[in-house]
Amino acid sequence: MATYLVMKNNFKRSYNNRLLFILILILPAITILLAGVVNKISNPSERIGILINAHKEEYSHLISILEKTEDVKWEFADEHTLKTDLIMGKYNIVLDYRDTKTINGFKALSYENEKVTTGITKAEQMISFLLTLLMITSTLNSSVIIKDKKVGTLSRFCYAPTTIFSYVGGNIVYNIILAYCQIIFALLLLKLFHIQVGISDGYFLIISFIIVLIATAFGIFISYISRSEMKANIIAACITVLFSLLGGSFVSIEKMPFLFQKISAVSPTRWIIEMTKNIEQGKGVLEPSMPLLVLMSSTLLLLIFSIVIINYNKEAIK
Amino acid sequence: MNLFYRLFVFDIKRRAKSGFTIGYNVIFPVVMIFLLGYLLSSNFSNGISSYSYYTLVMIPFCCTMAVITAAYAGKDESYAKTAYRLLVAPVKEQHIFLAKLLSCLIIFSVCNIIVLIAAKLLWHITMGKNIIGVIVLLIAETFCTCAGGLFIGLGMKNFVIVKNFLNIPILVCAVMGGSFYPMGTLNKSVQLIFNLSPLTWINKSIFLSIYDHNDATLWITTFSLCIVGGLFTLAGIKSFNKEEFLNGDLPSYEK
Repeated sequence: MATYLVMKNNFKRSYNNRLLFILILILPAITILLAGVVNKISNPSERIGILINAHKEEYSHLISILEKTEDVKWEFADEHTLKTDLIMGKYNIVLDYRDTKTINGFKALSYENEKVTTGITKAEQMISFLLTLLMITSTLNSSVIIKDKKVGTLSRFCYAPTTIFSYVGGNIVYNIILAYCQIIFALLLLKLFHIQVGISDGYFLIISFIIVLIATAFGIFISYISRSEMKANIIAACITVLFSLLGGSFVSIEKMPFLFQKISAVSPTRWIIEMTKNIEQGKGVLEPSMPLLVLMSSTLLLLIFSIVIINYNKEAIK
Repeated sequence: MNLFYRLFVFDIKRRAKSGFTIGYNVIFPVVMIFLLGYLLSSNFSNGISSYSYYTLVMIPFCCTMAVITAAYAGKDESYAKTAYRLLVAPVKEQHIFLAKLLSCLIIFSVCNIIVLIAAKLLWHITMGKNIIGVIVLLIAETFCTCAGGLFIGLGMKNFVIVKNFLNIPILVCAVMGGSFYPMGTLNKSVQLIFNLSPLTWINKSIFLSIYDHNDATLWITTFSLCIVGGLFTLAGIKSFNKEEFLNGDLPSYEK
């Protein structure tokens, strides 16, 4: 009953500030939608820049060939911004036609930019992005705990004839419901705009639930150890970016140096990506596997640590 | 002037002593540059190393993230329960705002320059001939983010709502601006979306200056940031009342 009351009270407090509540619900969805739209529009493309010296009309034959080529996007490159365009990934390849007008006479790939190959699929990217986002928003949602600590609600709870587990439980349930609503809202938006996640909706919802669990445990843990909302926000942002980096969101684990492969084991992003990989390979998401075991045990560990910390605080309060 | 000077010295001491702020603005970017630079070293070639790339994009990103610290810096007096002292003191609102702005600007700019020097020493990154221009751009960006942060912290009524969501738009802007990996495209619609991110322009102008020796964009971006920062400063001073500090006692303003 106390768990239910804590959860209900948290919802009431959130709903009192309706604008904030609506923002909490829609912001992750909009961010995911934006990522999906960018992903959808920007594919497929081998991006070529053509450097020329004279009038564009003289290159009509070359243009007609490029127009007919599939999966190639091209434009005339500007030599004054060439290096910047290559560095910022605008072109994969630049063909230099400044000294020739014949099709075969260009300087072979006079400037070449290696295409960034992260080695991870769209689904893996989307899922890891979702985890990163939810870890941040769950910390924001859990910041009610910091307020409770400051205004003395937690002290009152410690003196009440109930266990501290009900307080933690209420916060967990509140966070899980809110985070899962965010995911459902995001999925509906993606469906509305016909953006594919890369895995079936059923699997997406199951894997999202695992993400919600780990994000909730993380958010609650950060809120228990932080003395202020600012610190909680900043710590959460830093840790999630580092987790994302080490977990293989930017470059796949296989491409990482040996030491980093080992260090990446601490990142939940790595395991959620591996779980998504398993799904893509046709394995079941809930089959006993290393990623599932690691994610569930780390969720449990974070919650145990949170309870230990709050118990310690409880003693200090009393 | 004397009152402003006292406030400024007090604020700058407070900023300089904040280990969290310094760690966040110096250690975090250095760690990020090292990790991203090392992990993605094989994806960069032709004139730029991964360390150079990530130094030049990570400093503006962390500089933007400082908007959160600046927003909370605006609430210092509220949380430190020293609001009444400032209310009865003969200091003007603009003194308080400008003292905070200047202290944040100096400390964060120094942090950025330290990161730049550390990257130069550790990874021998290319600075180009117009390094002064790049530093001026970073200072202008710091001015803009500090003014924006203080406007949120001191001048906005719904600080509680805004502070919670600053992280997410900044991260989205960082991704669009290429702070984590190069996000080039030839699709006009996508490019239009990317161009909405200020970090796209800041990063682009730095690369243009260093690698293409083209400083025009750099100065235009610097000027634009100064204008936006100036507008935030004016809006912040105009909308700030000292009595707002008393709201620190409200539960939703908890630090």
